[in-house]
Amino acid sequence: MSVFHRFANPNRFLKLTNQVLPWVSGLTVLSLAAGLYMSFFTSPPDYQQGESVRIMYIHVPSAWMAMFVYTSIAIASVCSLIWRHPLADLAAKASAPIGAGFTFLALATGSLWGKPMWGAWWVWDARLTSVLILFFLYLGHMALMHAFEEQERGNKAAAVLAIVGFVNIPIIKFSVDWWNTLHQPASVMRADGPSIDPSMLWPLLIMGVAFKLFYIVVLLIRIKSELIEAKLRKYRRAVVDKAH
Amino acid sequence: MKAFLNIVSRDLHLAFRQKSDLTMAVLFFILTAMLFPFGLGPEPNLLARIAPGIIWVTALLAVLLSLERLFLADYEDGSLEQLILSSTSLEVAVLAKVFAHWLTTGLPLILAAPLIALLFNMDSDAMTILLIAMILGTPSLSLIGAIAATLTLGARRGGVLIPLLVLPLYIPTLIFGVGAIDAAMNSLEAGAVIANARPHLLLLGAILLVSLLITPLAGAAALRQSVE
Amino acid sequence: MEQITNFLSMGNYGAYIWTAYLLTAAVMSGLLVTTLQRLRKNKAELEEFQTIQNSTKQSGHKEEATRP
Repeated sequence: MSVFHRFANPNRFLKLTNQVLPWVSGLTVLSLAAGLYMSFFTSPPDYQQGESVRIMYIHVPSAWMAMFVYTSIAIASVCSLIWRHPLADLAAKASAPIGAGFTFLALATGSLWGKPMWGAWWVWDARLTSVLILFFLYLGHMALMHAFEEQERGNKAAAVLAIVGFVNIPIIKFSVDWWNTLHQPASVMRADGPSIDPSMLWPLLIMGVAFKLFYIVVLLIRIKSELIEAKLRKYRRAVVDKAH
Repeated sequence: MKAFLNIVSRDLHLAFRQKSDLTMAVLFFILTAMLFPFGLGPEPNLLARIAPGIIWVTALLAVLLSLERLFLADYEDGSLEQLILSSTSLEVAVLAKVFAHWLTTGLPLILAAPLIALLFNMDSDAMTILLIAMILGTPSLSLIGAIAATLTLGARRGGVLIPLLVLPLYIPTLIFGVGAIDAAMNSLEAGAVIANARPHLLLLGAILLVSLLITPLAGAAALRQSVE
Repeated sequence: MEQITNFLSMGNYGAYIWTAYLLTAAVMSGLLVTTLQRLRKNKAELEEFQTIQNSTKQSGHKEEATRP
């Protein structure tokens, strides 16, 4: 609890953010550069999928982020509803577009990988389908958050939805897997084998770290921006009050 | 318990006074399902094969249509605020509202389903499983839908929002609901029908239990937010 | 030269791979740019409010000071 409250103070949070942000940004650029270099130059083409396997280095981290950010939103929502933590709502609100962006990327790159591998832009593969449903959960969360006159109500409603959605994700995942094994399309090739060579695993992991750092950078800037906006609202209200 | 029954009977009274609400979901269900043979052709084997999917999808959409009004009238005329201030536990009140909603939409859909099954050439074994699956599945549709209905109270464009919020959460019910009937239709021996459909039906039951747990909590929280 | 075209063709998967990477770059930089733009806009507006507030405060002080 004390950790929570230490960061609950917006000014302290801003100070900490300003200290941390340059370092995280630097690390993001470094890991992104290293990951990109490795995924194009040091990792070998797959013996089955050839060069197209290079899409994996952005597709899989995007899919990880899609899940990771939704989990973060759900945790922030719990903090918002139970402890009424002032920064939790901002974190959830700032995270949603980033998560939706990564979910979109996971779908789009999956489709671009699927076309040469499966011969179709879209197949109802269990994982792709789950990610598609997750994308709609994101869209619903964002739409609900912005559907109210009062931002506060939108935040709280979206928090409830995020928690309900999070509880449902395992159920949805399980049901889609079940559905997919019942109606297995004949031509589907597994996108990745059970074991993965270190020369492919390393770029994948580094890209995963780079994407996570990128999320943190954008998230911190967005929260900072939201905090300023809260101050602006106060000023605007003062101006309106004075006018009356 | 008494408060629960009070709310249910009040909602039923209101529903019977406004008969159009009561018939709209069923009418939508039957009419939409009837369109498919015209779109796909009258071949009996094809219709029998796709019947489970069509019945479940149209039932789901029919429930979706009725969700917006689930709490809206109470929200607009202020009786929701009274409900929150009253001594009744809000969780129980949510369950009562959902139960009344199921009685006025889910139950009529179940009663109409055999008619559509007949039109689509479904055999009697599959029809039995269809009914069991719908008895287990439609309450979940009402329960999950109630969460979206409470969350969108007072929202701009609430009616457009509800489908977006609810459809991802409906997918497991749809999958297992259709799966149960498919399993029944694919079983070759007469005795294996129930055994084949069993896992799907159990999973539908599990979803119902989870929704029974989540909906009162989330619904009550959302109702409190809506009047704050 | 041939090396470069070889690299770009990516064993004939080039179109898919480069589209995927460009799309990723576009979405990620789009997120970053819109975020930074909003921050800049908010910062500018906040400064505006603060200068107005400071100037009204100062003029208020002056008035009090000149009062006999």
